[in-house]
Amino acid sequence: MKPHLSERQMSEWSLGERSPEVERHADGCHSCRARLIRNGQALAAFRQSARQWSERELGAADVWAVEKARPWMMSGSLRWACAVAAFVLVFGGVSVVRRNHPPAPPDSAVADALLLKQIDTDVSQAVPDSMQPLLTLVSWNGAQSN
Amino acid sequence: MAAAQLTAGDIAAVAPACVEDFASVAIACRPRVFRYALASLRDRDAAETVAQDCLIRACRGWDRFRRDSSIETWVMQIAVNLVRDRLRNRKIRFWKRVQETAVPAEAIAASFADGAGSAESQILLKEQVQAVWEAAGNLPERQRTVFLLRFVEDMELLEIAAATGMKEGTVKTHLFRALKAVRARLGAQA
Repeated sequence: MKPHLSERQMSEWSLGERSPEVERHADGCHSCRARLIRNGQALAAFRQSARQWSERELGAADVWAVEKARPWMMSGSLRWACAVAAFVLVFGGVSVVRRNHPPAPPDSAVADALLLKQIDTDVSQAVPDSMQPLLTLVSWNGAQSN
Repeated sequence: MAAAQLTAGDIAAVAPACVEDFASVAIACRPRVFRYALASLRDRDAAETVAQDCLIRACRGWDRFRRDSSIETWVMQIAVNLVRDRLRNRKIRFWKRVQETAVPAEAIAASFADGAGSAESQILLKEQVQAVWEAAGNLPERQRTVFLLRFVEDMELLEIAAATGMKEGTVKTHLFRALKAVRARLGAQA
């Protein structure tokens, strides 16, 4: 009885190195033939499974990359950070603007200010309007005499 | 770990006349590099990082490519080195992370679909696929590398030798050992 195929011969078969001697043995030995077929099927299925898995994952990776590139597809924490930043910018900006540009006074305040200015002017006069030219003359003359 | 990005500077480093060549090579090689990295690391994110890093290195080293092997083999050589570095880089404990995040053989086999055969033969085939994935996962690094390059990527022994930097005889020895381990696992499963 011929010995079964060695591990080396099995490996060579799997690598496609099929000598006539091994083929003759495989034709006559049911056990070795079954092993060779099972190994071949398993390796082919393994290759197929690796390729299927890779194609599936590569597609998923591409989808992930596209979603990552979309500016509006942000994570929850990033969305919250942006919302807080926008809030700070809007309300902080408003307060800064107010500080640099005080609000315009209302019309009544403007009228009051004009009236106050007129009163100040009137009170500050030393003599009535009718005597104002005389006062000027006197002062002027006094200054001249000095 | 975030993948490095291909910058405009990297592209500019490629001679203008070669940009189209590189683009076509990158498009053609990316699925293969990704597949090899995925089968080796069993982690989609890690495989994606390796694929991207591999193309960046190929882009940066385009001028240094001596064309003593095919472009595909050269790119696979870069991929093999990157996967090896990742597995060996203990500083960032990548291997530990990979082991934690690696997809189990059972899950890979469960998702395998082969249209032919009865339900019973489908179950048997999935069990065989699972056994091979388990055996491949337990192989030493070099044996696993040559096994995957041969039985996933269909590379010839000389191509594997060029991609791994081993002699053809060494590649064959590693393949024989890997196949023996796989047969032992299949025998135990049967």
